[in-house]
Amino acid sequence: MPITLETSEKQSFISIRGVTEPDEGDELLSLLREHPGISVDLSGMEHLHTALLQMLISAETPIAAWPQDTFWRKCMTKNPPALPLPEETP
Amino acid sequence: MQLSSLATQFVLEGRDHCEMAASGLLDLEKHSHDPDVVNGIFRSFHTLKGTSGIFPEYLSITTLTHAAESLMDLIRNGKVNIDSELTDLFLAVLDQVGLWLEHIEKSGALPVAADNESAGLLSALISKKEIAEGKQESSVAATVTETVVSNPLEEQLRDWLLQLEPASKASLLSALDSADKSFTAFCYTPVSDSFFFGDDPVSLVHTVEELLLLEVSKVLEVQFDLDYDPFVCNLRFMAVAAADIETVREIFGYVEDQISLLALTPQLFIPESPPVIEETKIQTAPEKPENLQISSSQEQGVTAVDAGGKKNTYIRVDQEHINTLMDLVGEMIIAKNSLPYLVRRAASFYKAPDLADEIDMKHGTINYIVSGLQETAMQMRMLPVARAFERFPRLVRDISKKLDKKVRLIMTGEDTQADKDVIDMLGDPLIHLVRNSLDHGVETPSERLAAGKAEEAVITLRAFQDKSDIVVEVEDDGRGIDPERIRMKAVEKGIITSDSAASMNDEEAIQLIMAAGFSTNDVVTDLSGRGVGMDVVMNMVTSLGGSVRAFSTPGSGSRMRLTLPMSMAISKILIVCQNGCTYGIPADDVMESMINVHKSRVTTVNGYPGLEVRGELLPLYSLSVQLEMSGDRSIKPGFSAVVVKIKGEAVAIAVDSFQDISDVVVKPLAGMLQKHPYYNGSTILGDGSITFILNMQEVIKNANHP
Repeated sequence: MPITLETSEKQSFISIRGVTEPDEGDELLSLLREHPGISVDLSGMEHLHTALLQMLISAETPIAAWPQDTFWRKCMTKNPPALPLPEETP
Repeated sequence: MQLSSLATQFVLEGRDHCEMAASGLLDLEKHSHDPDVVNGIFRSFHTLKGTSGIFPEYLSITTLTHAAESLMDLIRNGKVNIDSELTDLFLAVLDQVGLWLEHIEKSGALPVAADNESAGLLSALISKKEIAEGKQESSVAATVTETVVSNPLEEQLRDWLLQLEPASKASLLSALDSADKSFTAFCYTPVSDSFFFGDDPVSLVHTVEELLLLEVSKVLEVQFDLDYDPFVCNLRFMAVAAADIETVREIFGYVEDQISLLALTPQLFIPESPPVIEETKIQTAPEKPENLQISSSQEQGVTAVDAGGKKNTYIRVDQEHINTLMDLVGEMIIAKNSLPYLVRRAASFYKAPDLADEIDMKHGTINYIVSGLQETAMQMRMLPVARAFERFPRLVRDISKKLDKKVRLIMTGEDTQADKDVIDMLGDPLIHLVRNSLDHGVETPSERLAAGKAEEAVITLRAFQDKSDIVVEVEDDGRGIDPERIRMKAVEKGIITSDSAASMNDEEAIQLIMAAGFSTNDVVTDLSGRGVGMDVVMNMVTSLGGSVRAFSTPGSGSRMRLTLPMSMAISKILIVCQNGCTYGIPADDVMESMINVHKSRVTTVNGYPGLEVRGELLPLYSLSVQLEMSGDRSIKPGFSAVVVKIKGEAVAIAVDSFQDISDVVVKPLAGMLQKHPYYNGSTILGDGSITFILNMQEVIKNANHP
């Protein structure tokens, strides 16, 4: 499953991995509703469908870890600086 | 039809923008060319155009508002002067958009003939624009087509480039300067149902290589709540790519109607016209929060979210939720009111004084919490009276123009607040009063000049708070009301006898205009003043527990005063007992109460009883007589008395005894009791019994007393 709820003693977060499809929107939606303010780990994510991207933006979800591809960080950052961002270590 | 949350949001925001633009246009008439006002109107048209653009089925709105925006842009740049004719045109456009929004709300779609409905307006807008630009007049059909074809997304893209952070602008300019490459800016607004067509817009954007700048934002501000629909696309992508325009166009080939492209040049960063002011924040519309702002953290775990300053101050809540909350608060108050009964029962029936004390203490705590809850819930329903006033600048402008009268409207106290139901129901009586002022109170300019008055009449709409009431006045400096003619008409119509007319003072005579049967058409045309629907006004206001009073000086003007309770939901009452029954007297009417009144304080003057209260003799009424109760109606020794204020006069009411002062939820009466004049409503007391709330004005009205 590309979307899972990871729970440890310290904290819980949602992990999104691989390529997501719009059908997975329901699952992400219910997790975000059940755990308001929960953060999301995108480090293993390869592609986020627009429906899921829109959901993370609307819910103002904190990002615990970014994916390798800086494109996604630009998508979710307000007023990103022009020209490519330096590569991020997830 | 159930609208999607996105479409609902569009309708709500659309209405706000229509109202803001209309109000701005009326301001503009007064303050010729205030750039802030012009920018505000431009912004409203711009937003209406932009937000409607994500619904392909609302293209008529996009087209019409785009044409209005283009013309407004010329006004903004000083190329066109706005005049009364243009104001009428813009107001007609807003009216049309308002009607369409209403249609969308009801049916989910625009009327089938929407384009036909707006064709005349569209032609007028385009023709005005062309004349201003000095273009040769061409056929309307050709210009309409041109407007429809032009892409409204392009201006959003231009605005976005202009509003970029200085650092981003500098980087892009530097890239333009040094590289041999071409750069393209694009704005991609996918249609709201794009997911259902299998589209993944972000995937398309991702295929654009060398994106120098990318910003993803919500088109409409939709809350992430239970109504949130994840499958309605509500995103807009703005970007700059290091690629030529044809390459980018090819990528978006199959969604070309959803994209706007611009070859990037340094000129695009130079504003051609005055900058548009920031969007105005109003209470009913949430501030548009910007996208999520995220600051990075290298630590394992959570990355902090910085919303970039202030979060949303306002949220839209379905009125049903607030009504349910008010109902629950009402039930809570009834439940809380049962505790004092329990205290008495614990002490007297169960003989447990310690338990009674404990319950009493807990009652104090619960009372404190419930009061806070009640206040907050009531505050949530409070709206400024500006909401009821906002239609009048337009109404006064249109009617005075039609009647060929010059009228200036002054509004004061718009911030005064009252319950939403009161504000909503205030609209109709005020329309009656303002129309009456315009039709019958205000003279024509020539009549005014002949009477030594200024050519321009003044109508004042005034609101202020008086204790727990809201007072709204409509005043004009017109011809006023002639009390002598009112007397004559009232006698003629059989409303009063000629003897009563003769004994009435002028102020009392003027109140006759509100008597049922007084307001007929012939009265209106005969009388130099008011008449239309005044009994309707009276009925509307009294049904809300309020009152109407007229003041006038012939030749100088009139003033109509509406007094209404600020909130109708929860009231404070004094519970009194009479002949074994309990009644509630609204605490607002009560000036003071007295127990064990000695008979020596009762004096009879001309056969009518009076009660001496601190050296003043007040008329004394027996509640049992006034309510026509059966049994012993005499005022008993050691009776209790309540001093109430009726129409500004203090009167004393003799009752058997008092109980508590209590907050109660007043429920309207139904069935046969609905029209009973003595009762405003009913309520449930703490012991579960039902009691009537008295309308003291009516209870005293028929008293056989001087």
